[in-house]
Amino acid sequence: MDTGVKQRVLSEVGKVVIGREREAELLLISFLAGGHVLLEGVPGISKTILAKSFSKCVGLDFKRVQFTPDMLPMDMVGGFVFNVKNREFEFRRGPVFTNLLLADEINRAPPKVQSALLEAMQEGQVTVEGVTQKLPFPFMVIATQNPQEFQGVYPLPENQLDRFLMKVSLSYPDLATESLIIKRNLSDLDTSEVSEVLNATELEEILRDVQKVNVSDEMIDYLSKVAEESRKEKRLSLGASPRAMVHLVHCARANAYLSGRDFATPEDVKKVSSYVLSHRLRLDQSSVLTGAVSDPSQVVQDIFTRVRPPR
Amino acid sequence: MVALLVGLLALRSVRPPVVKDISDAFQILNRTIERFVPDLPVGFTWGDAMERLKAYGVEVNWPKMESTLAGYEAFKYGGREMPQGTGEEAILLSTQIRRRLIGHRSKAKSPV
Repeated sequence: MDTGVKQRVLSEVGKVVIGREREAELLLISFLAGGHVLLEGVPGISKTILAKSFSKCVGLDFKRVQFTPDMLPMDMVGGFVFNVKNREFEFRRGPVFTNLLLADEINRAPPKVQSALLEAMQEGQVTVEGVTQKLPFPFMVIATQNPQEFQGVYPLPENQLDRFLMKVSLSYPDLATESLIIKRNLSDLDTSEVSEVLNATELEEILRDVQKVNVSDEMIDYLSKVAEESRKEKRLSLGASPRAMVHLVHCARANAYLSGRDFATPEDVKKVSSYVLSHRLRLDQSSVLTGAVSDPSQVVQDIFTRVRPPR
Repeated sequence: MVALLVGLLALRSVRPPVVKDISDAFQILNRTIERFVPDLPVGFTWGDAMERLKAYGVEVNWPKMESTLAGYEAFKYGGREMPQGTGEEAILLSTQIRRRLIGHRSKAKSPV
């Protein structure tokens, strides 16, 4: 188990993104777990530069799509165009054909575009006019959305939110970090400062090693109890799905790998649980109205305090 | 005066238990934590417990304890062979918890 990967990635990302070590670590965990991330935050808090720097240091091909209300699915997945030379229709690939896709302001795209992204995220392929095209491996979507926007947006439905392995909310930096950001940006700062710290062979090996991280039967039982507890929770109208628990176990494995272990512990599960589960749970409206709860991550934490892990 | 006597008697009764292996030692530690550190929730992990006990000022050789715990976790969650020895550090920690926190059972939730 290579413990140096995390350090290498965080220090490279840290060259241009200040004060986002935790978020960069969560991106790395999601990537190693083979999932997609939804970054939520107001504009200008380094969501895009974080995604760009991350893709650069892990040596991945990167593309960015700015989602808008007039977008069509073919703007993202591509489509058949007529080639005048050979008088045939040929497939022109859209920006989704990359390793790391930054779907900027995903909630501004109409549902058709969002659902086209679903197949890509879930299956690692796209189908256009009955022809299925495989996407490059690895494939990861980092989508962003602004929680403060209410006009001209199409909120992601539950089934699409469930496709995201993690939702990471970015808040404003603290005073000291903000000063540092301003100071660092007095001179030009761009992602060209970030070096590639992983090559394709190394990456393949790491992804294989993460798959080998042991999850004991006791740990599986523990996760099942957590899922059951979430479904019994009165403050929730929708508990954790089996897919959510599968995602959680993958993230726990990736976290264990990054901690230099080849086995997952309850600590690994707890460390990522809020990011993996919160966006999939639906709060019970009466509990929200009575003020019993306002944040699903609080409910997630409460559930973990009640379920006894294997010790 | 009576409280002092009761306290002294309680301290005298804290004797290291007899254990057969490291798993046994950690089960004893687990029960001790559940009993004497009631402000830890049912869902506590070993990491939570170690952090809390350090905050309480329980004194053991922490690097040694963490290494013993790592060996136990590799056995418990990683399916490795059980480490040699009887988990002395875990037993020592159990004894320290009982000595240090015995007076805190009634007024739990306030760190030392």
